[in-house]
Amino acid sequence: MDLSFTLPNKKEVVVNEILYKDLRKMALYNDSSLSNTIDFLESFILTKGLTVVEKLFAFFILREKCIGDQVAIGSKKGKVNIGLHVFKKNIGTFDDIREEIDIDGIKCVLNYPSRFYVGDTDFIFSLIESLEIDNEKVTISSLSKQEYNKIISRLPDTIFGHLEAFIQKNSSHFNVLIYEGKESMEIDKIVLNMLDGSFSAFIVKLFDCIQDTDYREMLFVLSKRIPDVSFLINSTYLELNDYYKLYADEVEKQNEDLQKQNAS
Amino acid sequence: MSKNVSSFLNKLDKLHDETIEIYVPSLKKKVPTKPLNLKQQKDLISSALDGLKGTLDFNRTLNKIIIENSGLSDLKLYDKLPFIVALRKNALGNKAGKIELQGILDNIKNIPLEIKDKDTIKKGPLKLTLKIPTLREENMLLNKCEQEINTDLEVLKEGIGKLYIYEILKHIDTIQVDDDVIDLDDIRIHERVKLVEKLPLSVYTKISDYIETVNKYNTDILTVDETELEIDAEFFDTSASD
Repeated sequence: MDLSFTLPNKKEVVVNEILYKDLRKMALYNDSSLSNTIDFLESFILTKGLTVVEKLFAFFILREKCIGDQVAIGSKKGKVNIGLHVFKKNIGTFDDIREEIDIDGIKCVLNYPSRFYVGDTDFIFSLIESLEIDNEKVTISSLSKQEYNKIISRLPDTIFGHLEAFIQKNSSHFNVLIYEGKESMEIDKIVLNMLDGSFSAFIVKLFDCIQDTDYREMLFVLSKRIPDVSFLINSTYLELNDYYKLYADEVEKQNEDLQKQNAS
Repeated sequence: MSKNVSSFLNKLDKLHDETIEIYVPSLKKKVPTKPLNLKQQKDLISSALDGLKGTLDFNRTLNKIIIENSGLSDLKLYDKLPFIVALRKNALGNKAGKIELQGILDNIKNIPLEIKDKDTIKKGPLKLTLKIPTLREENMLLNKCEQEINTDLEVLKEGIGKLYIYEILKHIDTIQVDDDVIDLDDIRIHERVKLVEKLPLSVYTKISDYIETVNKYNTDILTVDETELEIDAEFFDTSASD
């Protein structure tokens, strides 16, 4: 099922639900590269042409709707659960940094990157939102990998200096404050830079919520009550957690009734 | 590829179809070469961030760019500097720190190339033929060397030792003992390393002398008004340009 919502900058975004069976893939991807996992997660965002900040917001909402709104983060006192609404509130609305420049006959629009840094420094060219020559325009985020590589291999090197200046001028905008920290709980501040690997690693962590053994155990237990395993794997983790709690309550009540019967 | 993107690529090509003329010592003539593009400049600068591996990556990237932009696959090691300096001058201007790059390009034309493309070393029954490798050959060895280098600080010494062996290796064409001749191009790189590691020390010294003729030529070219230009990733960084 598709979900649609509006981002703080009023952009409409459509995403595909992350189902329980998709989390199995995530568990299997545990040893996979950051790049593969990010590619997999990005496949759930159906709206094209988003910047990485917009994608981060989309991932927050996807996480909230399909897995749950609590995220466990590390503190010196152990794991602490924090609501995703806190992260979203901290980011708030993101400033418009779009800038248009004309370089050697190419109209070039610069903005937040549209690609995550996952080890390949070519991602930096995704700061280019669009290119235009003689009224012919291409949007970088809509290009396939092959098209992207062909275009960046033909762009003149004079753009490089403009990219460097743009990064320097907007350096504070590329840092995203996720959590202000809490001294009493000894939780450190969380600031992510969208130009380094911490940004993509944080997103992967958001969805890394189940081990493969837990995945099987949940199915094994629930299939005793709901034998249609296909229905189970096509539900979200959030829904399965609800079924699990209902089943646990039911079993507890049955045990109590049994104890009462035995006592009488 | 979409029609829109193909058409855009054509427009990009038409907009930037200029070439620069670069004097190539091994050919003794100027060849037309495409200037650096955005990705190439980024690749050169990003290699600066990665220590010993970065140095190898920087050299490999440079060779790849020179081969790609000139369209020549048999360029020799001593042809590298003219391309590096001319591409940099075209991209970021004539000045690199205090040095005027035109001075280096003048040196390339004026300093005679006195490097033997082949040489022979004899030590008893052992005979080695030496050569100046092409940029393509150097890249094959750099690839292999980069895979083998461990970036841990503890094994840094070992890494530098490996670099030295590969430096020696790339200048050896054949090894002959009595009537047995081995062409190094015919055997795998790890077997070449094993062979070279068994050579007597005095042979190493003679190979180093041969390599030194290339190094001296490069140093002479890169020296303007008694200051030698350093070529590293920073050389291609816009923030270091005039």
